[in-house]
Amino acid sequence: MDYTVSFFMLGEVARLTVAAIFALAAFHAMREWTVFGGIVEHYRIVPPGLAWIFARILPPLQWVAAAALVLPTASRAGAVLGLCLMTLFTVAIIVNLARGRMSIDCGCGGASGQKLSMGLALRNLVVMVGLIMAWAAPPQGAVDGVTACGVICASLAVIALYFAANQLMTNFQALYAVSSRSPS
Amino acid sequence: MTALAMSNVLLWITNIALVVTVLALARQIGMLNERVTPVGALTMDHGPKAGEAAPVFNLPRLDGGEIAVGTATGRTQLLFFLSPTCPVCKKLLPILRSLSQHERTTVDVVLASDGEFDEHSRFYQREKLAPLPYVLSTDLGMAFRISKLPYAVVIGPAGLISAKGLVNNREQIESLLIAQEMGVASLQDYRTRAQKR
Repeated sequence: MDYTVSFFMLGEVARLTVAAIFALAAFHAMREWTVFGGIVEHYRIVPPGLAWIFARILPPLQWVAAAALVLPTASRAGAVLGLCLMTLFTVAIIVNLARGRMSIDCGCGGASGQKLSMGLALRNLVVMVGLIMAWAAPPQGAVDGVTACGVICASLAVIALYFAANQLMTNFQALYAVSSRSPS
Repeated sequence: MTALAMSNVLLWITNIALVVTVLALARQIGMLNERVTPVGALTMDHGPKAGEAAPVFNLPRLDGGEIAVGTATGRTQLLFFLSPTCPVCKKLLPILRSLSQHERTTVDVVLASDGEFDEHSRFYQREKLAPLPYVLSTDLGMAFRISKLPYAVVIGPAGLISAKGLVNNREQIESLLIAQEMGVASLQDYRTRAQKR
C-alpha cells in the first residue's frame, strides 16, 4: 500500500470538505447580516461598536478561505487562513463557555438555533485537524480517474456526515430544552 | 479487477445514499422539534386573548417620563417585547422605527423588556431607539404571558387587544396590523372564518 497516495487522498478529502463547510457558513451569515452582527456582539469578545465590523469581515474571509482551499495552488494558504479563523471561533466559544454563557446562539449557520456547547468546541477541533491534514498532505500531480472519483465521493460523504452530526447536536439541545421544561 | 471496481462504485453509491438519509432524518427530527416548541409555548399561552381588554399599566419610560400601556387612547398601540440579547429582535428594530414613522398618525410603537436599567439604557442609546418609548417591566411581560421573543401585541384604539403573536420579520409585524384592520385575531381565526363562510 502506497502511504503517500493514501495521505494525499485524505488531505484532498479534508481540503474539499472544509472548503464546503466554510462556504456554507459564509453563505448563511451573509444572507442575514444584521442577525449575524447581533450574534457576533453577543459573544462579547469585541466591544459592541466593533462587532458589526467583525460581522462584515468574517464571512468574506470565510469565502476567501473556501475559494483558496478549492484551488490546488492556493490550498496551503487557504488552510492557514482557515486555521486562523477556526482558532478565533473556537477561542470565542471556549471563552463564553468559561463565562457560563451557554445560551447564546453559536451563529454557525446564521441564526441556526444551535447553542454553545463543549461538543461545538470539539467539532471545531476536528475541522482544525482537517485543515492541518489539508496543509500537510503532499502535493500530487495529475491523478487517475479512480483516485479522483474516490476523493470526490469521500468528500461528499464526509460533508453530509458533518452536517448530519451538526444537526444531531442541535436536535440534542432542543430535546434537552423540551424535556427540562416539562414537569417530570 | 472489474468486479472489485464495480463493488467499489456500488459501495460509494450506497454509502453516500446512507449518509444523505441520516442527514435527512436528523433534519426531520430538527424540524419536528421546531414545531413541537411553539406547541409547548401555545399551551402556556393563557394571556389575555384577542378581543379582551388589555391589562393597563402606567410605566416609567427609559428616557424619562411615564407612558400608559393598554388604555383607550383612541390610537393603536403596538407593544413590541424584545431583549438586547435576541439577534432577531435587533433585526426588527429598524423595521419598527420606519413603521412608527410611516404610521405615526395612527400607531404608537412601544418597546418593552425587563432587566437591569443600565444594560437597557446602553442598548437604547447604542441602537438609537429614541424617540420610541422603551419600558422595563416584568409585570407587563407576565400579564401578557410572553414566553418567546420577539413578541408583538396590537392594542386597538378602545384598549382591546386586537392581535398578537411571535414575530420574526416585517411581514409578520404587518400581518398583525392588517389583522387589526380586517378585524381578525390571527391567521388561524381568519381561516376558520373563511371555512365557515
